[in-house]
Amino acid sequence: MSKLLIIFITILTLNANSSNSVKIYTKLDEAPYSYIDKNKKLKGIYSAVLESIFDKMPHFKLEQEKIDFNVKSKKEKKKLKKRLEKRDFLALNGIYYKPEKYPYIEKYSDPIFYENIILICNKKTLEKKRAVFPDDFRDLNISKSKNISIDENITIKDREVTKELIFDLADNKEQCYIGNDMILWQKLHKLKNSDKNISDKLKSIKNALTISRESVHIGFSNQENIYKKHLIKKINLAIKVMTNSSEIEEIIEQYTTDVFTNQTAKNIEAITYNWGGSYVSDKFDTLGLIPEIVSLALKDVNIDVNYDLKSSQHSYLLTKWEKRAFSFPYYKTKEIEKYMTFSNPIMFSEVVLLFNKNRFPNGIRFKDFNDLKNYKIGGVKGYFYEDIFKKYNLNYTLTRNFEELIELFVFDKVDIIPSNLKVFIDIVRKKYPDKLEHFNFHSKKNFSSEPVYIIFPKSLKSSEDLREAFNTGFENIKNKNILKKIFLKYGLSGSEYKTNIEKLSNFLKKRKKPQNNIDKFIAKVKKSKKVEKKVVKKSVKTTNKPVYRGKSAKLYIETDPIDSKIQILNYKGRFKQGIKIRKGTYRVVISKEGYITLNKKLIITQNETIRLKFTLKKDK
Amino acid sequence: MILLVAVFIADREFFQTYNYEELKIEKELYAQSIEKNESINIGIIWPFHEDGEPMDNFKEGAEFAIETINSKGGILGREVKGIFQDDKIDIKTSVKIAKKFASNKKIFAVVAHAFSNQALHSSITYNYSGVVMISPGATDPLFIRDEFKYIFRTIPNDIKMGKAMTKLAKIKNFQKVVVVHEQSKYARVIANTFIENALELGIEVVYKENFHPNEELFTNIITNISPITNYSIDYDAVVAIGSESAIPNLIKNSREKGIYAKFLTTDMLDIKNIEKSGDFMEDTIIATIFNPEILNIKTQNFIEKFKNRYDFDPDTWALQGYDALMLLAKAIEVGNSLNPIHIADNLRYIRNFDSIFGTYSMLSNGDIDGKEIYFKIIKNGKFKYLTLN
Repeated sequence: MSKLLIIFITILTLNANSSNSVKIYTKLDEAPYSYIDKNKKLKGIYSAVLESIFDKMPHFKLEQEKIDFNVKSKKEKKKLKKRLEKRDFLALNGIYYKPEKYPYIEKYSDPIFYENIILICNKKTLEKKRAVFPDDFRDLNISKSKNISIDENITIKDREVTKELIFDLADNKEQCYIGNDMILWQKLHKLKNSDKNISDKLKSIKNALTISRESVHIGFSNQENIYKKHLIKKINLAIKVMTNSSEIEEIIEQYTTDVFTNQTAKNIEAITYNWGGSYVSDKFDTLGLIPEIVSLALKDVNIDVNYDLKSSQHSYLLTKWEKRAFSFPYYKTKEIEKYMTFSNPIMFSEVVLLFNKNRFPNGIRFKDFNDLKNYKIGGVKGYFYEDIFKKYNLNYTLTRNFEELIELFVFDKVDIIPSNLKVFIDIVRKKYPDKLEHFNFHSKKNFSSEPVYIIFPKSLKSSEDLREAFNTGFENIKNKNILKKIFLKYGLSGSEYKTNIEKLSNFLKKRKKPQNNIDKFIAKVKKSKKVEKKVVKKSVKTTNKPVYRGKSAKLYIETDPIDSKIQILNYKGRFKQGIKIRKGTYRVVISKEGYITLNKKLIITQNETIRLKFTLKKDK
Repeated sequence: MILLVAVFIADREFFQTYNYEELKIEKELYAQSIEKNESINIGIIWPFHEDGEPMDNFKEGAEFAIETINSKGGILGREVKGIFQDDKIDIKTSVKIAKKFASNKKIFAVVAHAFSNQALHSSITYNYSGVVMISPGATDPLFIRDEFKYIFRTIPNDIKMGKAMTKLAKIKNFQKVVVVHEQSKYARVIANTFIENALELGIEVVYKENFHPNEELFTNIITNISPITNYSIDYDAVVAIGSESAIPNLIKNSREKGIYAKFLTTDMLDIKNIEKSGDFMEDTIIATIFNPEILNIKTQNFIEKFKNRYDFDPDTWALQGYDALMLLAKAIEVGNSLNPIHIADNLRYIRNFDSIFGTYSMLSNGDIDGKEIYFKIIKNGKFKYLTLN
């Protein structure tokens, strides 16, 4: 009768209170089982399984706390003992079935999964047949992880898994090592990624045998609790369901492949969009400045990336919809911040003020933001300048996207717009090529210099690790001066280059300006593109315009037809591929019977390798 | 004229007039005098097949319930017999079956219809002829009417579905959504409920459109919501409400146009092997009233026994079939009577019924309270159940 009453009260309690709190301690161990992450949160297989169990029990609310059994000082040990004796917890999660070790545990759950203690040895040691531990291994020098206790009568010293251990094992200074399989493989994998030599050494180490197998449980304390029996039944049922549906297996997999291993094996799928021509190119043979930076930064941390190219909004949405790991380049906006986390700035975009030179033949006045009150200014909603517009009480119009803004500007609905010059030129050249010459920009003062970022979807679990990895790689390539080289390779103009190097190096030096007008700028971009590609793709008519400017060079010339005759008129000797040519002005003549001869000026001003390509047109 | 006569002759059963009051009395009298060795006949009407293929596991679920009941000695010591009829998702067929069952004094109760249209039309016949009708599939709010005494359902209605979908959208942090729905009452009610609740919860509906049930290409909708054709569109998910033939088509066409947002849809798509329809269905969230991961001992036992009996896992509709029959059996046993009016009265007051879905109650108007709506997402061709807390 009393039992029935208890059950009745239990059911009433469960129905009345939809969230009964259950306090469970999860044992702190090592990754991947149970560890504290960078955000000081308890992570790992133990806690993930427990959380998943409670997800299936909406009537119970899990209160999970970590407990560290590996305390060293007497004071800490005393504190731990007191905490356990208090019995204010219902269960202890992540423990082996060891009644002697956990006297306060009254009942164990069904096994959640099994952990293996394994022995790894070098190949030479295993040439001799060794099948029984410890009898077949007594003659060897063996070490083990300090967290493992071996009951057998054999002397084994404790040792950490380090680079030195791998070298000692490979060089037969030590023969075997005992460790928990998942912890061991995770540590070895990280070492392997950090050093190529270790990768070679690891080839000589093999898994010898499994010494023991321990089942992992949730242990229930002898704390009196009215719904304990019911809870144990439910937890066991959850373990059964999760085992049958492979959910536990999936959780283990999730924690045993970290971001580096997982993503090295499978390339990261990222997405970008054509931005300002050379920043992000829409030609896949030359990805452009930013993708190259991103690729090199990630390569530095052993991550390979595949790129896909869509429109800016499509790229943003595919990333937000978790279909791509990241996208770039984006300014920081409040809207994007809702969904995305940002990398460190990958470059600084020079934002200038553009105006229609037909409407403002004498240019615009812009010494400070108050001067802009005289103009109708346009911008994209949510962009960094929206606050400036509001703060200075400007007469502004906001559009939903950049394409719309350009349309307003091109059709004179707004007087001025802030934009990165290359991005503006690229879009106008594609959409309104005949209008480009109508615009100019205020060259005396830039509107601002804005950082651009890679964005990662907040909703993807892997985003945080990937962001960290990128930031590390980016820092590395910056420190190795690779970043500078890429900026130069893509012909970043003087001030833009300086600003980026300075800002990215966290120097707060004041930027030197003067900017050129728009025509000069386009010419400069064109020139730098030629340097960047080192290839002249189109056929060149006879002209005095130089095909290349440099100091001195190694010269390669490719022709179509391939057997065309190549002559350098004011150069002593015959042309051959890779000839060294000093600085000066030369004339290149390419000819073939039946084709129009090309005659081109070549100016060399610096030491470079020059590759030129000429296509001859047929003589009609 | 000749045609009309032909139709009349062919369909005379349809036009036949019934004296419902007489049928009702006949059933009551039979129920009072039923012999111990006579079986209890329950009509089970469902679209068992579609295009020659089994529609779902409803039949197996109902069969299994009857086997279970009979293995425990039947109801009130009598064997239970199921009379299975296919409604072919057709109103006319459904009404024909209803009239046939209504005129059979040996049938006191039916478990009937997957869709509201068939259930609504046949419910009139069942109610007036005194046959207890439990529908495991009719979700139209109007299916349950105060003036009806014999009509019940064991599935949450469309308004509850709309509210549950909004709750899910909020939990999944969908801040901007597209809502598209089929031009049907069912879809419109859910879509409107979703939109009303979305406003309250601060979810922005950035685009709303409806489509014809026979629509195949969805060109208008897709042009408006594809980032390839609309540079300004921005949303987190598409709420798509419609039939199991239209929605997968919409999703497939959307994916082809670069729309990889999550699709959130109703339990209309909670059908067999939908998760294996193709890669395009990835990231589709489907409402369901059955979550096999919720740890109800009864559910787990049912799943295990069902699997042993049929060699495959039961789907939602197998559980619905089983549950409706168990509920009916409970009502008969509680009242210790086979008289339809007594069964109906007892059904109306069943509270905290310990079912394979967990605990739920019947409301005095015949509706159900406490049956949860869950959501599952398709990932790698498999379902993953979403946590709502």
